[in-house]
Formats: sequence, structure tokens, C-alpha cells
Amino acid sequence: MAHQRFRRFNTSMFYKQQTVANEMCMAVRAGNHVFLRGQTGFDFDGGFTGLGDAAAQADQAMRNVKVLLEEAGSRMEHICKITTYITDRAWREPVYAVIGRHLGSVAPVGTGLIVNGLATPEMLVEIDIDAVIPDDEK
Amino acid sequence: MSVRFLPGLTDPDAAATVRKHGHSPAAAGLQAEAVFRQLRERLAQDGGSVQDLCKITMEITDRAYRQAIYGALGQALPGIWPVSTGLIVKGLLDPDALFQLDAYAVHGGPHDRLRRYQAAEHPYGLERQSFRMEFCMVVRAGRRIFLRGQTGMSFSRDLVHLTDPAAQAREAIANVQTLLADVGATLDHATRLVTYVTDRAHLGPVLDVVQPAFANAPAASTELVVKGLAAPEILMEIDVHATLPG
Repeated sequence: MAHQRFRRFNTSMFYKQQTVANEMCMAVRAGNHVFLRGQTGFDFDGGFTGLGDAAAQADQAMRNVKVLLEEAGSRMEHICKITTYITDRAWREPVYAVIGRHLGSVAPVGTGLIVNGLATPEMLVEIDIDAVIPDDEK
Repeated sequence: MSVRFLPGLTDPDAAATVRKHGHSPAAAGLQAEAVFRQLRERLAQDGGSVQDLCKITMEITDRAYRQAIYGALGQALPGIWPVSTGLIVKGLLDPDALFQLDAYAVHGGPHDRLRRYQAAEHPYGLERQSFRMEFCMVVRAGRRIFLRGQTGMSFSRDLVHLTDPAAQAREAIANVQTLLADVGATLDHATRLVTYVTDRAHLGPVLDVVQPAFANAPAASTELVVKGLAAPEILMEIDVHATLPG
């Protein structure tokens, strides 16, 4: 079966200061593996939550993650790997507190990086998720 | 055949190493040795083998540490031929960590590894680098495909268009198409795309080349501005993951 691609969108919805306008998508399901686009303070309508507030951005990102996983036939419990990008070490504690609240008892492997920047300057945090749907839930 | 995620490996004794050696190439090399010991142990768990290793992403906090860390890599993983992506990052979460490794492995190695090369014989950007490490350009592990991070370096090993990030991106996309074709795949099988640029000013020109290549089958994408890539003249890099349909 061809891979399923969810919530195709045009990047111009988010990158308003740039000329970039391409068709991308929010989630890809290849067999039982679900890949999410990096999630940020942007909601799916192009609205931005948490200007200057990394924790609020992380909260929006994790809300998006839940929606996207469920649309792809997965759920939070299936998260295997989480990659957290932040633009300043100062965001580590507030961001990880929010992520921890959303993950609850889900215990994925994870990695964190402090990067010079994300796609737009107001983005302080971005979260990449890989999930695998267990064979007995397909 | 299941994928094993081994992200976020750092030296658990990073603080002690830094106390003794400061933030230095020597400390980075020692941390890297500890990370690769940890990686080998993890790969050998649960009936796995070091031959299962498919892709590594090297995250280094200062370009000055690169030779020491890659030297430790070559010592630790001879004859495995993984694909790799190398980043210079602003920082890691542990302020004492100078190096972090993310790895993917798939049970049942050694897997198909094509376009093998020896790092010392391969220019990075304009320079050669003296460490010895055996890499390849594409690993196919069952249906999963892992590519080396692709840049403006062509397979004839020249960096094209030194100061033009869009031209580098065109070369990188052409490389990705070639490597996917090597293992019977196309861009339609891409699942994840990470685009790295070294300056926010490059992001628009690079995405305008990269993203249209995925217009038919958009991948789950992430865009990052990093401190540096394998060499200063490399302005962009893309990581593409793909899965052949079942």
C-alpha cells in the first residue's frame, strides 16, 4: 500500500515573511510507522500560540501531536522517539515540564538539541515525533 | 524487521571529563569514546548486533572537536559502514556534553550498504579530513532506507557552487534521487525530511528547491538553523528517510 499522507498544507500559511510556498503534509503513515512534521506553536490554521513563551509553544505542539497521531490511526501511547529542538538552553526546563505532562506514563526514547534557529524567529521550540503502531492494534 | 531508536547518547561522565580537560578536543574525544562504548553495548542487547547499525547523526558543539570525535568513531566502529549526518550545534541540553549521538539500527544486519567510502579519502567541502572511518551513502534494511545527509557535494566529490545555497540544494536533491534509485525507491517513498541550513537567510532559497521535489508525496518535514555542517562552505544539508511499500 502507498504511504498515507495527512493534512497536506501550503507552507505559505506559516512562513509569511518568506517567499516559500510549497505543498507539504503534517503526518506520514508508512505501514505501522507514523512520522510527524516537526510541531511548534503553530496550530493547523496558521495561528501562533505563545509568542516569547516556550512552554506555551510546547503545549500547542504536543496538542497538535495528539491530534495528528489519532488522525493517522495511532495515539500518544505509541510514541517511540521524541526529538526536542530549542533555541536557548533556558527553555529546557519549562519545555520538558510541558512535554512530560503530555506524555504522562509514555516513556519514549528522546534527544534534545539547542539550535541556532527554527523556521521562523518566533519559534522557540519544535518537537519531532516517531510513533509505531503495535502489530496487535493494526 | 523493526527499527531500533538510539537517540540522545551522551557521556554520562561528561561533567568529570570537562572538569579535568576543560572544553577541549581532548575532552570531546574522551566523551566520544564513552558514547561509542555505550552504543556498541546497546546494539548488542536484545539479540542485536553492531552490524545492525544503519544511521548515525553526530551532534558536536564546536567544529574544533570534530577530528577528535570522528577519530574515536573510526576506532570504535570499523567495518560497519553506516550512513551519517554531522552537525555543529549551538548546544546540547547537558552543558558539559560536547558531543551527542543519535542512531538508528534495524535487526538482521549487516544490511545492504551501497557506495561505500573511506572518510580520509573523501573531501568534505574544500578540505580533506584526517580521520579514518568507513561510511556508505545508502543503507537498505528490509523496507527501511537510510541515506547519508546530502549536500552540494556531488558523487564525483566536488562541492558545487560554493556560495549558493539553492544550487547546493539542487545537487543534494539530485543525489537523493540517485541514492533512492540505487535501492529501488523514489522520492514518492520518502517519509521524513529534515532540512538544515547554516543561516536563516538560506532557508527560503533552500526550501524553494527542496520542498517542490516532494510535492507529489510530501514528507513529514522539519527545518533547522544549525551552527555548522561538515565544512564551513557547506551551507545546507538534507536528511531523507524512506520506506519501500509493503
